Amino acid sequence: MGAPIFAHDANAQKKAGKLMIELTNISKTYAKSGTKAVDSLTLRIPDGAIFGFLGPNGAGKTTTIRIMTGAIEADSGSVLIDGIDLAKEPMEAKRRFGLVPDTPDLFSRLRAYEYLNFVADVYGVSASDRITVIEELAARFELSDALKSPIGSMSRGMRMKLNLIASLIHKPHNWILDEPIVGLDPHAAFALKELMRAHSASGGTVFFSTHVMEVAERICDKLAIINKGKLVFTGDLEGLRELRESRGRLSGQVPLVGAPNFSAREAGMVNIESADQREESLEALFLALVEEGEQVPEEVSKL
Amino acid sequence: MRSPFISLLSLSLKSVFAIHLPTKKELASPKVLLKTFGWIVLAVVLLADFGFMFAMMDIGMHDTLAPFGMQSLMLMYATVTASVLVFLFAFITSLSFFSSAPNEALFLTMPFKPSWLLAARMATVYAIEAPIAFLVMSIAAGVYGIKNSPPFDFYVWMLLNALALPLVPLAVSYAVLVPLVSASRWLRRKNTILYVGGFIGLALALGFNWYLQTMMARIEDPVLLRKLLIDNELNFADIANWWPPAWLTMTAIGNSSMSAAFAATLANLALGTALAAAAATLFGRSYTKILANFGELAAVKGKIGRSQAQAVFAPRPVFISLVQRELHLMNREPMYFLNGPFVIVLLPVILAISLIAQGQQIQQALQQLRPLLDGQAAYLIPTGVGVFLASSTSIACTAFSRDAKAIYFLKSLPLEPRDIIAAKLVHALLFAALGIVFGVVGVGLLLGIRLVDIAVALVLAVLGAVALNICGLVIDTFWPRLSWENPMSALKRNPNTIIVILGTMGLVAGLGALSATLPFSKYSFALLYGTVFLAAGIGFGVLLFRKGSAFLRQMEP
Repeated sequence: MGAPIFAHDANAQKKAGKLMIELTNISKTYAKSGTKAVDSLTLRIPDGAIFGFLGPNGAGKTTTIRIMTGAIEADSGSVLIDGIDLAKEPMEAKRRFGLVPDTPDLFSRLRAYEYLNFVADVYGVSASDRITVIEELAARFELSDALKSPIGSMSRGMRMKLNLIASLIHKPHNWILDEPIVGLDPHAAFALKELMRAHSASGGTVFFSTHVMEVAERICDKLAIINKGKLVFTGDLEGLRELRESRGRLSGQVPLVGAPNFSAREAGMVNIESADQREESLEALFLALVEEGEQVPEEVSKL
Repeated sequence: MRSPFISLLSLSLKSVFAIHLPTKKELASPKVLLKTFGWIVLAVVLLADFGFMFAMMDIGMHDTLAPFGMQSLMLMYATVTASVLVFLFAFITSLSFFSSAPNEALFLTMPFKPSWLLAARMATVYAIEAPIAFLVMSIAAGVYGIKNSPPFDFYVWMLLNALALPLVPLAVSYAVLVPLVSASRWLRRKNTILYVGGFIGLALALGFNWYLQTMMARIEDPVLLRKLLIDNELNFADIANWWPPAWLTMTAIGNSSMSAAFAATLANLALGTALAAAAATLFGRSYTKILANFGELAAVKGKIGRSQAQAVFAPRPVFISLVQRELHLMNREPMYFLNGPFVIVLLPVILAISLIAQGQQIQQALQQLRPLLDGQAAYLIPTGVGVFLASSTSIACTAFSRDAKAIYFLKSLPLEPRDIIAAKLVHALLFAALGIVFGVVGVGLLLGIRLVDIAVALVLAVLGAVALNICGLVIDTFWPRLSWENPMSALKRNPNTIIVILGTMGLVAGLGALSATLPFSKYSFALLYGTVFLAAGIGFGVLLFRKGSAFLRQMEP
């Protein structure tokens, strides 16, 4: 019988407060398109936090995650994972995180268990440990009956669940997830949120990108908002509200209903005073901030 | 505003014939210019190759039959050939298109009539068939025209009937396939369609090869030719009389009356169009049901129990795991398997068919070859075949292109780039070993070559195959094709595949020519080529493992 999932907590707790993922002055321009996807981005993601990474489509979220995980090289800047420089010691740094990629259909011709075995082999996970993690997580995500199936026969949601299991098979300290909620059924989304909380409670770091503001609002300890490759906010929800208030934007317009992929102008708008003076939701703050674009760098640097 | 059907038709055609013609601005880039030039040369070579084959056949047949005043039989032969070819192509293409049913199913949510959906698909198949009929018929028209100076309208009837010939086969193919696929759950799977379509396609290619070899063997003998065309139990004349589109074509081009020729041509076009329209109308609804109920891969239910788990989840060395991943991903994808590793089996089968079909001629050729086998040819011929087979699987030269969808994920794993590259190379070399055994030992036994020469050939083939496979992997590591939606683009339509296969053919032919001209002793060639292959292998290997990691790190699909 292997050790339980998130068994890293004892050591991790001791390190609480240490910056576990640190991105400094990251920039990336894609050679083919000439698009500057990430521009001088600096992020510090502390231990034991659930960190939400928000931004509209094409903002640079996936590029940032790819740089953070060594899938692509930044033009400039550095990435430290648990204090290890990703560029200098890639193997050691990559062992410190588990990644859930944004495209779940990676190896459609493999069977689910073959894929899990491959990932476990790569991380050198013992037989008993891999069995423990797979059994527990497959049961939690209701995937136990599908482990023999070809990945190509699975729905997008099932593939995402499989990737979630694969990303935790080596019990990583840092859990990085790119749009993990997309395609998940409510039960699996709930299980995922529970897992994120458990991972964070045990001292691990959760860094995830999402479009689902409600999820970010409910479970994030910290969040960052990126737009057009630039960070427009980092901090917590309260800090975001304070920023909005301090900038005297309460007379501005915020959307009444969620339309996270649209600009504030495209979404249905109401005046915030006429909206029963309700507290600004993350979604509203997000849209307003994204609308402002690049006008807030000085505030960002304060937070 | 365009009608919805025209939009659907246009989209269907564009989705199959998605040829991007470079703009003037793009052509300013030397890379784009070279690539475009390469594609044009390839297209011309392919067209010229098939054109030449049919032209030689037509000329040979015409010249054999003309002294007896039977040269018009050549036109009957061309008409029947075109009819049979388009039938086979229509059937195999229609069947293969069912594999794209999951994508096409999107149209079910749009306000299209079922008959429109089937008609649009049939139009796409027609667009593939028609050029084949056109090529065969226009070459026959050209050959006959040059030698007999027929009136101008002869060409018009030939070409108009060429356009009519594919219509009936198209209608018949769908009339057979739609009920068949509707009735069979097994056929409504992408894998099944790809394998069944692939194997039928290969069988037809082999059949066509057999047919060409058989014709070639008889073309200069008027008695044999007459038997084949008229006298045999199943002959060309019977097919021309029995198959309405062929009969109408023959009536149109063989009739001196213009009105009769016009009526026959019109009847041919009308018959084809009516049957195709009827098929689209009658089977449209069943077709949409197929689209709606098409499954990709079968899910397997069942838990992995505790007792099984220990064995199933037993850890393996990372490198073994990487090689196994390569093997699974290539050989479980029908598109990759049939056009990759399966080639090792396919090419010897084609060779065997040629031997059987052209039995006497091949025996004569072997007799002529016999004196050469006392010299360096004894080991160089098996070496050439072995090297070619070992390098024709396209495994190495598409290794990263095929992995495009997983590149980002692979790079995020704690894997040394050199291990990923080495696993890809080992995968290619495993199949190369099979190719060498089939090629060297097979040809060695066929030609009755001495054991010592087979041993020399084996060593040379191993050195050559290793060098070429590493070279292929260098090409795909440095210039992978990472943007694609269909696996076919990663392998079959990958320029790297063409470069390596044509390059290998050129190398084998070049070394063959060199061996025939250089005045060296028998085994000096082994020493020379062995040294060159070894040096090339080491050179490419150093390049691959020194620079490959950097290229892999920079890969951005």
